[in-house]
Amino acid sequence: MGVVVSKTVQSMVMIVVAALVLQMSFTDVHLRYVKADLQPYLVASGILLLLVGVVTLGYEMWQSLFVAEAKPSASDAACCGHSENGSGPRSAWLLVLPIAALVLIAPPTLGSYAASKSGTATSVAKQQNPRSIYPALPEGDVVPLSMLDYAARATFERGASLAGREVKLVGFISPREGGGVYLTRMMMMCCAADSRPIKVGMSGDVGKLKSDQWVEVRGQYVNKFDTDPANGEEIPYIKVSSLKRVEQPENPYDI
Amino acid sequence: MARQLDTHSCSTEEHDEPAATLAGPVRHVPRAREPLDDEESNTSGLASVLVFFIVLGSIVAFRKPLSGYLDSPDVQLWGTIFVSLVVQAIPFLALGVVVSAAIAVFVPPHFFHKVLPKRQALAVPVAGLAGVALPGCECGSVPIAGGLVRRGVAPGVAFTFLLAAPALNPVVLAATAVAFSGTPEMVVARAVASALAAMAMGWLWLGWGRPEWIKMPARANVDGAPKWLAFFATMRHDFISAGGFLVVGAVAAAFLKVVVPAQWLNVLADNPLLAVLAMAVLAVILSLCSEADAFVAASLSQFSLSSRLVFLVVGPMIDLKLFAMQVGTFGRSFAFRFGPATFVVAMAVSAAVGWVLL
Repeated sequence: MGVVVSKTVQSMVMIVVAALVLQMSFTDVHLRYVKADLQPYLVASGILLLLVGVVTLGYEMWQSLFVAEAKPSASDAACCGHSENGSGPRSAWLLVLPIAALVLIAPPTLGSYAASKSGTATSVAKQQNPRSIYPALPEGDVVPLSMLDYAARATFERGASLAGREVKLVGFISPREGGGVYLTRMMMMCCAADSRPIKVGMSGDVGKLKSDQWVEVRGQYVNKFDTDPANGEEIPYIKVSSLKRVEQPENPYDI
Repeated sequence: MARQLDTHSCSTEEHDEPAATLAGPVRHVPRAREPLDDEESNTSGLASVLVFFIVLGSIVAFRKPLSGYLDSPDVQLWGTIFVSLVVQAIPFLALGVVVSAAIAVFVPPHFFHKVLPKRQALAVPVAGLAGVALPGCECGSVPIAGGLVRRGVAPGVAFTFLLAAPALNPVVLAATAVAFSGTPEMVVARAVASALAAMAMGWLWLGWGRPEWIKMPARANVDGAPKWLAFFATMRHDFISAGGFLVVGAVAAAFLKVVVPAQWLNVLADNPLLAVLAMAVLAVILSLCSEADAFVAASLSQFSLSSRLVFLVVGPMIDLKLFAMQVGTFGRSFAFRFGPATFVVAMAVSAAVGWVLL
């Protein structure tokens, strides 16, 4: 007893997990943990798991309430002759852990702490575009760019396609080793476990900014670079012309 | 007594014939767990429902009082990584569980004997090729391989599928092509090395593997029950057992992500041999989805292409969450032999392929 998991609990665990997955994907909480593209698959698997949990639970309750006198089937008798509510995989209890983590910790979007623990990942762009040929920026007074796009243009072509243009970046503040701050955004492929930061330094007067504050920065390329102590990659700078505090965007991860 | 969806296997019968896993279609497979106390199962069933509600209730009740203790950055980072690993795996796990239940319920017992080559050594490459058709990552392939073994596919053949499917499917290769669009030979090298390593493991198992190492937990006895019911019961069983162990792997992977500093990698990048070992270990620790690992490999710019190939080949074949899921699906004595062997073979094969191709 105790460690034994009845079938009923297995179905209940499935129902709770499915409900949390569905709730998460309809309230956009899933955007903290996984890529937005995954939403339809989360919904589909949530519905499936809910269905499996409800059907198996309903069938077994119906059986034990109304068919309690039925003779055990031949295979039951031949086998071990025991009754309903047999145990199944005890690992059902383990699935309580993510439920607990989700409710008790309510883990947030990865922020400055995670960013400061790993090195900037601008080289992702270099791998995709080894000759570093970038298209010209679109027309307009201010060009919104992803952090990766800005960092790649700044680092690998020394700002050639950025020259004289005003760009707009959105990110959060993370601490710089040895004082100061970086404008940062986490980039995610599949889930938060594979996310890596893109860091950009800010030159000019940006005032006092707290870690994890989201900001929108306008500015121009400046020929200045740091070396990220975590992995030795270059961190480019932007010369800030204006900065304003903003709310965390709906999708907090960069591309 | 009511009819139940799931029955315990008859332990006496099965322990006499452990070789049943290799021969023909198997209904029962030896169990890892000790027999349960049958007399108590009724009360314990009720008790565990009660425990479950108490646990859920306390989680909700302690939410406020505990929040002050759980807001340290390390705990929060652990939580985000842990929850995201689990959430991301759920759709793929659901897909794997559906396929595995369909194999158990709708595929005729002799089907795989008819379609697979009679000689198991030839069935291994066929299984490797079949892996190309599963559009998912590794979380789904574990329950499917379990379903194949239960349906009488020779374990060595099923394991080739298990190892090949996560790395060889078109979705993963396309993601690799995008992440390494500057070096397309990486895609070829990944496909070749993954296929070779998966087949090598299959043949190794055919030569030296012992059926008694595999101890699969008893699963739904689907004989007699209506098919739809058996289908649902099998899905529940597979989801709970694979999912529960996935959680263990995710807990460990998230913990290591928090405590191991990123800088340790820099020290190893310059020595080619250490770099290969470091990338293999990193792949095991990070437990990434095979659809995302190419992107992380692309960002590990301080490492050579061949050592990053090792990262891409080892990760989908063995990592913390896969190892935990294999313990849950095939038993401990299997996983503790198969896991390390996979690690060594995948590392050696990918290092050799990288040396030739990259």
